[in-house]
Amino acid sequence: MLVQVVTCKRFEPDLISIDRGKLLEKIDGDYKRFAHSPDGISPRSKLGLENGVFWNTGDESDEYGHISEDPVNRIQMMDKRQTKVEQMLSLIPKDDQAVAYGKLDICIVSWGSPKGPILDAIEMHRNEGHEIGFIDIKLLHPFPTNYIKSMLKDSSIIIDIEANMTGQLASLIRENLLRDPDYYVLKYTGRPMTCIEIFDSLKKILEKKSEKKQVLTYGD
Amino acid sequence: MAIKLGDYKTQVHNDWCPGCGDFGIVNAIQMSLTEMQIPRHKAAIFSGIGCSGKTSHFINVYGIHTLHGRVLTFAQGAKIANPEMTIIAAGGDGDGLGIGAGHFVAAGRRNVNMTYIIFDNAVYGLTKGQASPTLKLGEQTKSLPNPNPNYNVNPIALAISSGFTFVARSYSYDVRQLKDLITAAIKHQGLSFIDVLQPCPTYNDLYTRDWFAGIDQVNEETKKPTPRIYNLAETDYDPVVHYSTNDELNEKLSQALVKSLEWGDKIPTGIFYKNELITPYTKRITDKIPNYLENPAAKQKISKNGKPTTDISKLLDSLRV
Repeated sequence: MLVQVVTCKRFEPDLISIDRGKLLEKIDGDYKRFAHSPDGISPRSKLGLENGVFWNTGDESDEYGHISEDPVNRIQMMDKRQTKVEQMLSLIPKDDQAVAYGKLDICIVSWGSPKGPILDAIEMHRNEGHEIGFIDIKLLHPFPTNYIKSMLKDSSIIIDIEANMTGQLASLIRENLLRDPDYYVLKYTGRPMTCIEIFDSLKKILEKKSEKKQVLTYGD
Repeated sequence: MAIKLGDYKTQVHNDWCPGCGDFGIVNAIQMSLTEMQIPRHKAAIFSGIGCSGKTSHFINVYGIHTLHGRVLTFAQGAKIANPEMTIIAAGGDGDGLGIGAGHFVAAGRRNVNMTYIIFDNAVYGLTKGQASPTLKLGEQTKSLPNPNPNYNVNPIALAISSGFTFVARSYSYDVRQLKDLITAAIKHQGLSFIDVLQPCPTYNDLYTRDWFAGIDQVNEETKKPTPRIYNLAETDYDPVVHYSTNDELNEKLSQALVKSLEWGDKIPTGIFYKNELITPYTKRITDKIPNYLENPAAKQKISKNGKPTTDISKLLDSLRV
């Protein structure tokens, strides 16, 4: 939404490492592209590899990749994929799941583009002597329930700030944390939030003059 | 050791209807692969969505069952990354000429060296026989409540005008001719297209096997049916563009377009148009990347000991402020 140029630190390719996972370079004998394995991840062939012929389909498939409607196979394959989803939480770095900018009694939760103006707005409140925390949630599925729960355990007031009408992140929080945010600050005019309107909405909350939901309107 | 026809067959249960024209197409593809002795790991069949989409599961080479209307995008990508492989895309007329028509046209402009086979039965057979893009205006097949209100796409004419450089039609019950055409299409240097007329015995009660055989057109003298299908190769029709002159090109293009309109009592099959004077996409890439064929994308190592093999330091230098 916003177009901007920023100066950042030079990217250093040496600091990252490339891990291509279970990519095979040579295959002997019978090969099953979707073979069962404890971690749910099957060694993968690629086009043109001798003995590595496989099939792909969007339908449910057996271990070779052929369409299968067998109910037992269906359950095994569903469980196989779910195993992979569950492993993601332990493999994705915590900083890519959520980042806390202060875990405080009054705490904002948000995701995506409001991050910048939220950081500015809580800085403005800090200058006036009010501390407000902020959790920027980055991973929505699989939802990092336990991590977010631990971040919010000392917060008595949660403020959900989102650039959509229904509070989509809040519905995930309600579903996974069984906790309803105390306040909603939402904007759905198609325009970005500004720090001033967020500052004002937070001020109303601090002064206990806010309704449960505030809708932001700034911008022509 | 020679590869046998059986080596290209899988054990997958085939649930196409009895008498379906698709069987002939799968057999012809397997026969062509056998004839050309293409190693199983050097060929890949890409298929779209529909009854025809299951084709890739019945042939024992790499098989990628892709998305509705998108088969050409996957297949072209695979060919460009693996130029030494034989790539065949297979899909229905609803798949390739309905939702996939944009990709069909774009593929013609690229002229990637691969083969596209359309299973043309004029209905959406998998979903109970709705009118597909090749059903003609006013025709009413079995499951339509009213005659088709839409004009038809002409696959041969569309392929020719989009830039396909090998354009042919075949008939799924003439497996021998189809096999020969598939082999010729695979050998063609550029994008080849075969529109295969394929009776759907369940939903298309107009274009039936009997109709193609012309049992309603009995010759009064011989008392035998006059088949609608005939082979252009048995006439004096010459589909090949021999010289790079405008006159030659215009003549071959226009005769093919006129021929593509022939339908009804006589239906031509065989090669309509063939032009190897248009540069295949391989050539267009090697003009820019001279070692493309020796070092295509699929063979390149992107990392060594976990470190990227690509040096981007100059790019990063240029961004310094």
